[in-house]
Amino acid sequence: MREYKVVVLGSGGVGKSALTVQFVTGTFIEKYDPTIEDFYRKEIEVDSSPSVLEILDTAGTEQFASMRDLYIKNGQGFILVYSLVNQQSFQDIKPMRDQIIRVKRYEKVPVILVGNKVDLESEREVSSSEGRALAEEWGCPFMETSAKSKTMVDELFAEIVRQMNYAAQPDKDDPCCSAC
Amino acid sequence: MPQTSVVFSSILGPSCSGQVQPGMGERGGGAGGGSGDLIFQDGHLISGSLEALMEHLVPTVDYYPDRTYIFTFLLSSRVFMPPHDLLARVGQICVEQKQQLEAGPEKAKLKSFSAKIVQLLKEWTEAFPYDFQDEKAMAELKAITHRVTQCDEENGTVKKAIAQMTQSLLLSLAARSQLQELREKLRPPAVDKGPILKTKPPAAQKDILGVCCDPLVLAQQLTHIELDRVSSIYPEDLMQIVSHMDSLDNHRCRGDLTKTYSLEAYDNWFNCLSMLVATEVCRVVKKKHRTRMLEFFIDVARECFNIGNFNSMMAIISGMNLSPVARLKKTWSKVKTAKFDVLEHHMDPSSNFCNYRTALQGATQRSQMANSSREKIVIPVFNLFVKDIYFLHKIHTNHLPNGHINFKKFWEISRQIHEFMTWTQVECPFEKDKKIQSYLLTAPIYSEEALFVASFESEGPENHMEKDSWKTLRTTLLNRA
Repeated sequence: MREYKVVVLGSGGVGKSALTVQFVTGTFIEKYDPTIEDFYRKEIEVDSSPSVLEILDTAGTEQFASMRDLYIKNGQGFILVYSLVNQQSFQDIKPMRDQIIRVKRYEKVPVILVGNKVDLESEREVSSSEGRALAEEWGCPFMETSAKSKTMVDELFAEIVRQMNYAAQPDKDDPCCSAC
Repeated sequence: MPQTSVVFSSILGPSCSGQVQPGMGERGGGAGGGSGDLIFQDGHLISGSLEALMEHLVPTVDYYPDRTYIFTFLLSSRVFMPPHDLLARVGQICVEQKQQLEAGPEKAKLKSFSAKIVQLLKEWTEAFPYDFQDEKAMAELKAITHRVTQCDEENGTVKKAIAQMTQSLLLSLAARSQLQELREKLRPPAVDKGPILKTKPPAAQKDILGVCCDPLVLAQQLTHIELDRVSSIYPEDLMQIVSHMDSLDNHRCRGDLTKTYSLEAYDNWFNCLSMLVATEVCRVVKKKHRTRMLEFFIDVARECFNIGNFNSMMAIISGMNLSPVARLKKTWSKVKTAKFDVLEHHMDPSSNFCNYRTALQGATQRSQMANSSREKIVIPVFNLFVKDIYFLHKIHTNHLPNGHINFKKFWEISRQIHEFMTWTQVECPFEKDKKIQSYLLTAPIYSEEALFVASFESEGPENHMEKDSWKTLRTTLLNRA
């Protein structure tokens, strides 16, 4: 089974951890202990092929900026999250994409741009078209999600798997799972 | 703080699990109307209304709360109410109980009741002296102790105990505020922000190898700094990881800036150490020397690992993974990377950092069996500790659907915070080397831009992306000059 590591980036308070928690725990929250090996891992079937996703989430530790490159180095796909009720978080996301490309030294890194908190439509500060335009500029998919009302969360993680599959295809001589 | 270390080791044993000791789980009955709201599961208190939990904290004639409960509830209650409000409520419950006793046949027991109240206050003031920094809290404390003294006027024992308690509280408050002042005074901008160099310093400036070329000695000095920093972190500071998030949600502000200072300083130290490592590597002009510098830091990180100083080790590895360092391929090609691979293996984020967690567990066991303070050292990767608490908070709600407080969650948070606190109280066995420490804390650190400039000057851009960013960087710098 393919195994992928996905790094979730974005400034503090945009709801990264809520997305991760929603994805890895689904509805059975009681069972989970964040220190166990499997906590951030989940099996996911995309286009009828199963794979395992491990989420490297920087939530709650955004202030440890110097560790970000280490996380990026270890990730194969990237979810860049801003809060659509916070314009500043949208501005913060741009340098993070530059950073990914700098660390990966490769422009076609699998990335998805995500505007979270779509449930707070009335407080929106970043329009869908702004988000879409930025994603187009980067040549990556764009989604608006809500961890709170469980909107598009599974779709988001399925899409990043697709992106990573797509990126892995041209050079099959470079298997990603050498560590296993 | 010697007093606090005694308090923590006595309040919570290493096997603290929140288990209620036989005969202590149930309240004396009758006194508190809300005590029926406490839910136990296999002898463990798992939930209850805030009111019932507060009543569970207050002793009665024939009940005294479990010490782990006292610590856990005092720690967690601040998520729901400021300590002075809790103290006020405790005072009220005391008055009610006192009146009941005075009216009833058990008047003779007033004395033992008041002794128990004083014991509770003593534990509170020892574990969380900072709660009484606040004037309101101090006033509440005085009001309660005044009432309690009246119960035992003929005998001076209660009075004496109160006087002792007040004195040591004032002493620890004074010690903390002194420390605070000292830190403010000693806080050179270099420690936290780092003087940021926009351009290259003169080549003659000494580097870290000129100050200390023994990796073991440097690792020991890093450990010294770490232990110094963590010793000023208190359990309530760590609880802010949880309560700050809630205040963001509620638009309510809890705690003040001075309290987060020690946490902030510790966060900054991690980033500064990473940046210092990157600076030291990037500013070396000759490739051969750069290689030597990298190998030196690999050895330092390894020594940190052996000591149990995982935080410095992670900072160093992060520093070597910063792009301006990581991109120096020619330099890295000369490094004996086998050693570095071992280190990276330990800090691999895969499977929720399981290799690191195994190493941490080993160190924890060693620490528990230790005979010397050297063997006691465990300095976990702080940002992973913060992340664990953060997610623990995120996956479990504070309240259950019936409005009860989800106390199971707070046992777990408190257990982890308590474990961290035992690590912070290890006395550093290594003697302080002023020269080395002053270099580590004040040596100039490059900004991210300056690191890239130095990196590109050492090894030119390799592809069109790097060429572009090098060009942009130079233009920005020229425009600024």
